[in-house]
Formats: sequence, structure tokens, C-alpha cells
Amino acid sequence: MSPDEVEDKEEESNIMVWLTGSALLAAMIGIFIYVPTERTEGVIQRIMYFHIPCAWLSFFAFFVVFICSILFLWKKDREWDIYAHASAEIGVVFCSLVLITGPIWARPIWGAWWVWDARLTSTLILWIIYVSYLMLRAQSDAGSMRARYAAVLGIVGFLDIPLIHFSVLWWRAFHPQPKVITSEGIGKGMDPSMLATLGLSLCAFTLLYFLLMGERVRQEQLKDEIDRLKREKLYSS
Amino acid sequence: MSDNPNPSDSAIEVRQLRKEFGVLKAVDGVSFDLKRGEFLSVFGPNGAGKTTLIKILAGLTRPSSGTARVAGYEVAEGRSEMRREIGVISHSSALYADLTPMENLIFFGKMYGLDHPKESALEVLEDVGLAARRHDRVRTFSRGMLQRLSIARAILHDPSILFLDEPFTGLDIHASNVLKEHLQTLHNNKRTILMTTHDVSCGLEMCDKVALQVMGKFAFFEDIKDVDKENFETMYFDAVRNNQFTMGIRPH
Amino acid sequence: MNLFLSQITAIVWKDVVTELKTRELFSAMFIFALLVILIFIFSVNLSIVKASEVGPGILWVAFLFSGTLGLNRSFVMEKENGCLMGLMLVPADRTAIYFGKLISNFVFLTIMELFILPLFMIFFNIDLLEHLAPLLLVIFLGTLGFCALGTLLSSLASNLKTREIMLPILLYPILVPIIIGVVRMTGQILAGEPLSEMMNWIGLTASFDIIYIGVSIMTIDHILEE
Repeated sequence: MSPDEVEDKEEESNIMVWLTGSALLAAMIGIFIYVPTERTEGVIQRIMYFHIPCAWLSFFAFFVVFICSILFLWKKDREWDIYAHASAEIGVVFCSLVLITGPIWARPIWGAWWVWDARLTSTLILWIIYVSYLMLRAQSDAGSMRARYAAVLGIVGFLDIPLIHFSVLWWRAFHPQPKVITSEGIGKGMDPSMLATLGLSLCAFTLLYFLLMGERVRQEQLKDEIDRLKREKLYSS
Repeated sequence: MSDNPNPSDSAIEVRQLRKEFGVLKAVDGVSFDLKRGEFLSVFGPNGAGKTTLIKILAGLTRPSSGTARVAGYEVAEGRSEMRREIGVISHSSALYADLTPMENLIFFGKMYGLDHPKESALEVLEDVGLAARRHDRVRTFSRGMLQRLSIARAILHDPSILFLDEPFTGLDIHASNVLKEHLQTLHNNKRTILMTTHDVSCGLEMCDKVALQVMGKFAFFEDIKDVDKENFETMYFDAVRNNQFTMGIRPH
Repeated sequence: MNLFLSQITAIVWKDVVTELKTRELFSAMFIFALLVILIFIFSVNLSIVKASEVGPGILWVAFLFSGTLGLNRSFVMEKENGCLMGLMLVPADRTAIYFGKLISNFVFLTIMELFILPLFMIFFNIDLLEHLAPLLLVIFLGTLGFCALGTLLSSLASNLKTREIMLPILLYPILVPIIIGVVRMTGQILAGEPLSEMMNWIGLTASFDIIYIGVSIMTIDHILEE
């Protein structure tokens, strides 16, 4: 990278930081001040404005892993490998947040920390798949083998999502259904202010994803650059 | 040795061959020609990309850029006609330890689509002098015998080009002499041979062309008659010494 | 095409001959499956729960665990002495190698399962014979899906330092849909329901099989590369 390029990138990321920061701030104001408290569930329901964006983000991140994995196997370009890796890490972080906020929300509403609800169960399985993806990356040495294997797993794992969804859904059909706000219920009969807050929060989290992606990708690129310089300088002939 | 689309007498033609991944450059712009029946020894420190070069030429991995034609076929296409023209011997035998030599060779014969796998297997076993032990399990074989058996596997389908990746590793003095004799015979039979090795005296003794690969590049490529053995040895050891600093930064 | 089929046959033949000589794999898989069943019998109280309710789950966990042993062994054998490199040098399509290994894994696992079934029948006191045909169909679909994905992932895991640990970690979460499917179907079959009652599950497991055989055909090239 030339110094100019570095400067450009820094400027870009600065804009990104401000944009994401203000969006998150606006979302916080929306969640804690603007939006009215839900009638039956009370204040705990406000966790929805974190829970749903996290779920959306992790799903989106895994989709990016899938696309980048395909592009990697096609082009064999290290860039796509970096993108897939970064996106998987971010996806796992937000997937963990879903799994944490879910029980916090569930406890006062359903009276249990964990209910084997179809969406929560699918999220848990998804989380394990992508943790194993990161483990696979950690287990193998840097190089094209690691990238190829990870890409195959990125594809295999994502294609499993619809299958997991249906199997868990039908599996649940045999158990008593807990009283849940189903996803179909969200949006219906919701106050417009709630919808607006949710939308704002979704936007803020999506911006956060791109901010984190940019940072993580730059980190990996710098690591590569350091390796290259080390090899170059140390070889004296 | 079947019909060939390439009438020229080049067995291997490599142009600006590269295999890189991010910052790792295993093969970095290698170009050379090898005529039919020639023997090339490639020297180089560990991690110089010798093995990767052989893997690309044998169609085991794809190059990032550049071209390589082996027996007239472009390696990147991974054509089966090309695979029939090449045999590979490395320090691992690529033989199933629980099967006998016959079973192993018949299996590989079938995989190559040979018409008479059994007869071909017997023939090559006789060539390497292991016919008497053809019904013993491979697991019971010594390192030297394994290496002979691995020659048998590599020449089973009568390839015109042989790649040898550090074939002398782990052999005792007797076994390496036997291996040398076999290589000499294969060379005399007009097979093209590309061998990577650390063993300077061994490598220089048999070859027609000498190359030194450093950091993925060919630092040296000459006809054997233009090579001053002592000069070359000094150059090689310098390369190995310098290389030690870069080892271990990132594994290949 | 002819060579393609004969190459697949050669790989299966080679695996079968090896197994007949060593008898390592089958006995290990069988005994392990038996142990898994025993451990589960000790851990659930069969006088309280109905055998036909816990049985299917226990049976499939046994198949799954011992099948993983088989998968681990299958590619370790190919890695020993660098045999996989020898296989990759032959003028064979990579998918021929995949299908060869898939079929031999499938054959070993199916034989083991057929040996386990009578023991399961005796231990749990369940009459399988009257539901044998639908049960075999479910076992076929489940085992095929397990082997399709398992062969792909074990070819991948065999190159890792910690292959025995990584294979189940990579494999099991992705197998979740098929595990739920076959356990449900086996339970419903033992309860006497006809196959037409579980078409959704059959569709799910069959699409799992097809998707992962398809993905393997498309990606095996990138795994079987040095």
C-alpha cells in the first residue's frame, strides 16, 4: 500500500466510524427514550431491538461467508478468504449475542431461560457450525489449503440452514408449543414507533457490521504485509 | 508412450510459472525447458518451492499463473492423457501398507485403466527385483524395498516422464546405491527425469541439467558440462545458510 | 465413463480386500456401536420410559458414533504412506475417488447396521420384522446422507493435525437435520405409522442426500489438491 492509499483508507474509515456511531446513538435514543413500553411484556421487551438486529446481522454475516467462499473457490484470491474469515468471526459474535439476549428476554416472559423454540434451536446449531468453521481455520496452517477447506465448509454450512430450519420446526411440532411472539407476529399490531425504532436499530447494526468488517479485513491485510516484509528483509542475498 | 500432440522434442516447457497465495510465494516465476530424455536435478533449501514445483508439474495442484506443458499437455487443464505420461516417486511410498505389492500394483493398474494389470504388475516387480516377495504385506518391507516398490508403482503405466521428490531421504547407503542404479537404467531408457534433492554429489553425478531454486525462483539453471562442481556447491550452501533466517516465519 | 466406473470399483475392491485382511474396522465399529447402546440402556430407566420411544434415538446415536470411527479410519488409511497422493496422480476424475470412498464407507456402515439391528430387537424387545421394509428405507436414506457428507468432511479433516477431534465437530452440527429426521421416522415406523404419514421427513432426508452429494461433486476438486 502506498502512503496515499493508507491515508484514503483512514479517511474512509473515519467517516464510517462517525456514521456508525451516530446511527447507534440514534438507535439508543429510540430504544430507551422514544419508543413506548410494550403493554403486556413491560420493559424487558426493549431487548427485542437488540435481539432481532443481532439475529439479522449474524445471518447476513454467514451469507457473506457463503458468497465469499464460492468466490474464493472460483477465483482462488486471498482477498475472498480474508472476507469470509472476517465475516464468520463477526457472525459468530452476533450469533452469541442472540443466544445471550434470547434467554434474558425469555426468562420473565416464558418463565424459563431456555425453551426449545425452533428459532432459538436453529440459532444454536448455526452457532456451533460457525464456531467449528473458526476452529477449522485455527487448526490449519496459513496457506491455500486452509482457505480451500474453510471455503468448502462455508458452503456446506450455509446450505444446511434451510434443512436445519425445517427439521427443527417439524421436530417442535411434536412438543407443546410455548407461548412465543412468533416472527409472523412481529410487525403485525405493532405500534409504528416500535417499527421505526426496530428499523433504525437494524440500520445501525448493519452499519456496525460493515465497520467491523472493514477493520478486521484491514488487520488481516496488514498481517500479510508484515509477513511479506519480514520474509523480504530477512532474506539477505 | 502414446501419440503426442506436441511434435517438438520438449518434454517439459515451463514459462513464468507462479504459485502464490497472498504473501506466500512457493513458486515465483520459474521458466525452463527440458528435452525428452534429459535428467534435471533441482537443488534448493527447504521451503524453496521444489516440492510445489513438482506438484504443479504432476498436476496435483494448480499454478496461480504462467504456463507449464508436460508431455505436450497444459498442466492446468488436468488432462488424464498427461497423467498417463508421468510417474512420481517421493519419500512416501504411496502404497497401502496392508496390501501386498501385487494387490497394490493391480489396484493402481486398474486405476490407470491398463489392459492387463496383473501382467504389468509382475513385469515391473521383476524390474525392481521384488517379484519373490510379491505376496508379502507391504508393512513388512524395509525402507529401501519400499522405495524400489515405489519405483515399480511409478513406472507401472510406462510413463515417459518421471518426477522424483527427494527420493534419497531416509535411505541407507546400500539402498541409495540400488536406487541410483535404477534411476540410471530409467534414464538410459530415454525417460525424462526431474529430481529434487539435497544430495549434491548424487544429484550432479547423474543429471544433464542443474537448477538451484531459492525463494521460489530458479537462481541457477545450466547444462552440467558448464557447471563447476565446487563453485556450485559453495553457492548451494550459501543459499541454504541464508534461507535459515526466513524459515518459520510462516509455514508453507 | 467405463474407466470411471472401473476406477470406483477398484477403490471399493481395494478397501474391501484391506478390511478382509485386517478385520480392524468392522469389529471396532460393531463393538463400539454395541457399547453405545449398552451405555444408553444403563443411563435410561427402561421400566419408566417406553422402549419404543427412546429406542430409535439410541439406535441412531450408536450408528452415528461408530460410523464416525469408520470415516476416521477410511481416510487415515489413504493418508498413511501418502497413498492419497498416489490416487491423485492416476488419470481419474476426483469424483471417482469420492464415489469410491463413499461407496466403501456406505457398505461398511450398512453391514454393521444390519448386524446391530437384531441385537437392538432383542435388547429393547421391539419387533422390527413387521416394519422391516420402511425401516430399511429410512436406514438407507440416513446412512447415505451420513456417508455423503462424512466422506467429504473426512477427506478434509484427514489433512488436519487433530483429525480425530475435528471430524465429529465439523460433521455433527451439519448432520442435525438428518439425525432429527431419521430418529423421528424410525420412531413413527415402530409406532406402526405408514410411510405416507412421514413424506415431509423423507423429502427432507432425501434432499439432504442429494444436496450434499451434489456439493461434494462440486467441491471435492478443491479438497483433493495438494
